[in-house]
Amino acid sequence: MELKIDRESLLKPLQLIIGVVERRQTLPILGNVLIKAEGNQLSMTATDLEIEMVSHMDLEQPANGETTLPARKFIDICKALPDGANVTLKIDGEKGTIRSGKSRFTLSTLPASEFPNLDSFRSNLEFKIPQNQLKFLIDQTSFAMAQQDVRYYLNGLLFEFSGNLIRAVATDGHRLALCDVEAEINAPETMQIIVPRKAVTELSRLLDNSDEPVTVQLGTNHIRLATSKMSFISKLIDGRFPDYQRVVPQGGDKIVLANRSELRQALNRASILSNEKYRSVRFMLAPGLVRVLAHNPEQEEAEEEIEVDYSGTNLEIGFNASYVLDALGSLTGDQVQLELTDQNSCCLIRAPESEACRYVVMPMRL
Amino acid sequence: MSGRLPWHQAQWRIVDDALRQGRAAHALLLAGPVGIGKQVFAQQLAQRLLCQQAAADVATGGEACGQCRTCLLFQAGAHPDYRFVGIAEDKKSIAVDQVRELGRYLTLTPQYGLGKVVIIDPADAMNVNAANSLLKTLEEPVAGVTIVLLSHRPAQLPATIRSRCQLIRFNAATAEQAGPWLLAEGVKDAAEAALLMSLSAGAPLKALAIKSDNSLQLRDTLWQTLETLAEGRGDAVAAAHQLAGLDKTGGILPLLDWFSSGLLDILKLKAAPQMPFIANEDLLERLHKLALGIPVQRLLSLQDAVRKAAGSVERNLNPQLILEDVLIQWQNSFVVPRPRQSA
Repeated sequence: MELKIDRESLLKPLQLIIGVVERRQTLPILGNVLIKAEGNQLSMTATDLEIEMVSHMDLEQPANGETTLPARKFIDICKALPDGANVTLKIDGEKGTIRSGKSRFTLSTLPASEFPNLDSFRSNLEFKIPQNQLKFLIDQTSFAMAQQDVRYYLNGLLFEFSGNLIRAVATDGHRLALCDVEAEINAPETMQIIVPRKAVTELSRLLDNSDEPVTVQLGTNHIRLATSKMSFISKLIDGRFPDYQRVVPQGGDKIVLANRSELRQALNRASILSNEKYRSVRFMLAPGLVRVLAHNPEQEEAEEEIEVDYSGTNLEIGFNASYVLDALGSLTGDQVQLELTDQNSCCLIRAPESEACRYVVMPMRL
Repeated sequence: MSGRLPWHQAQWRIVDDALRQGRAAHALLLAGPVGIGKQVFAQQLAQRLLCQQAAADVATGGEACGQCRTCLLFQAGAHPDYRFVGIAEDKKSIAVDQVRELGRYLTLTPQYGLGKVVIIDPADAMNVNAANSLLKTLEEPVAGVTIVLLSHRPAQLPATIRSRCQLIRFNAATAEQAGPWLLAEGVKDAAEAALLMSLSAGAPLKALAIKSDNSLQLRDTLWQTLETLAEGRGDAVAAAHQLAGLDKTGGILPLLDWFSSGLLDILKLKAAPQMPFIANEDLLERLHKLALGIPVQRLLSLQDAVRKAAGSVERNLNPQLILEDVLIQWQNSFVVPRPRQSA
């Protein structure tokens, strides 16, 4: 196999996938990148067994063949070559030779058959969606995912597909974030998948705010996202997500309408003097007024008053300030609506005009 | 190594039957002496479970094909749905972090959809915390996961681990079962095969190892030294110094093993001199001679001492001191006619 490419068109797709290659691999082959040429198409694949990324590019001179090269060394060489250099990659037996101008590098290869990439993908559901919508779903919810929880199914983001609705749900058992997006997916039945934390973080980084469509494919064991330049495949978490519907409170009768940034700033200030570990703050609801109180073990106290639109009865309730702040920070718009029932029930936080993003925060007993 | 080992037939029957009837256990504990081929069995089982070909005709059972993509990946050691958990380099036990990482790995879906296989070897090397954190995974693994634990000392495992696994026991192989295999692996003739099997107490892989390393030489040096000491000549401390330096890699455990197997033989010879079913068959004459000079009581306490010495090695005691201890006891056990010292 012999490939002739200019440095830039080789470097860009390599940089796209190099993030997946871990510096310390359990298996030597995971440090390599799979290079596969088929006619005018060149694809490069990197995997850490959890996430697999493939980037595609066009070849000017057709070639056929496949091999694997040490990923870091390969990209370092490409980076170090001068701008606009022409690169010739030749694979001969167990050696791969890179030539450019007067430079010559010989890299060791490993057979492509030993590369553990996913060769066939059977999808149960396939649809296209603008990138920014998918990114919105992830960014609105991913902060609520659990970290290294023994309930392993919480260490990821739930995607639920039903009809023409995509819903993302994340929870760590103390708070929950839920976000809906309408898209033409035509799901024949409700499908749920849990995408692991690592893949969610990586996706949020990869997707941008353009409305360029991305193809999403759901398999039994994997999710695959593809654009014209690359594809991203992740394993799923093999578990059942808890029934989140039961957690979202229905019909809270104490409805508080507040200015979002005002509430957020007040809460931010008050939380400075809250208990550093539990971050507990006390909300005192009275008609037209919310008082936020915080104190710490050193008996220091903070008190904030916010004018709100509220006409219900008095209520005193405690929350973890960070959870409320996370929710307030994710929402957009001027106003925010808090729906409460009593001291021991969850609080629902959402924008007054839309139900697309909802946040549930458990109260604290103070 | 290809092909199932001939003395594993009974164990394969258990596993194959279970697979065919779709009631394969999710956790297996392979227990048997060192060198019986538990690792080979576990590897073959793992490859068989992950083989696309074997999964296609599960009804017929059969071995991994060795040709399909997953088999090639497995043979290259790069199968994404297979994990091996062992003692990390320069460590003495399997740490809790390794088990936690394993738990995380097992919650992800398999790459090729045929389930996942994990081998933990040696399972008894898990420390208490590691074993405890494995319990949850072991009890209710995600569907399609098979966890295979290997141990030559299953009694060292916590009962909570043992009770969560299906036990598959590997008993000593007979010379008939392993003889042809040993010959194929390069053993000279049937007589040598029989001797090696007897020396390894029915563990064919250990038998091969005895043949290939300088183990027999080590044994001869040991018994020469022991004979000299038994005759009342030589100095136990000097002998210990010389013996301790013999095996640079294995330490003194191989020596103690040979010592203990010889002691057992002497005991047998004392109990039934007419029926010499002993391991060190080739040393029969010499052991006979030694047997005459030592009382049974002392033999028994020597055996105890050697067993304790092996334990001391694991607790990192100075090897030479350990050897000195047993050698002095050995020397003192013999009733040597010494010139009487007048008071």
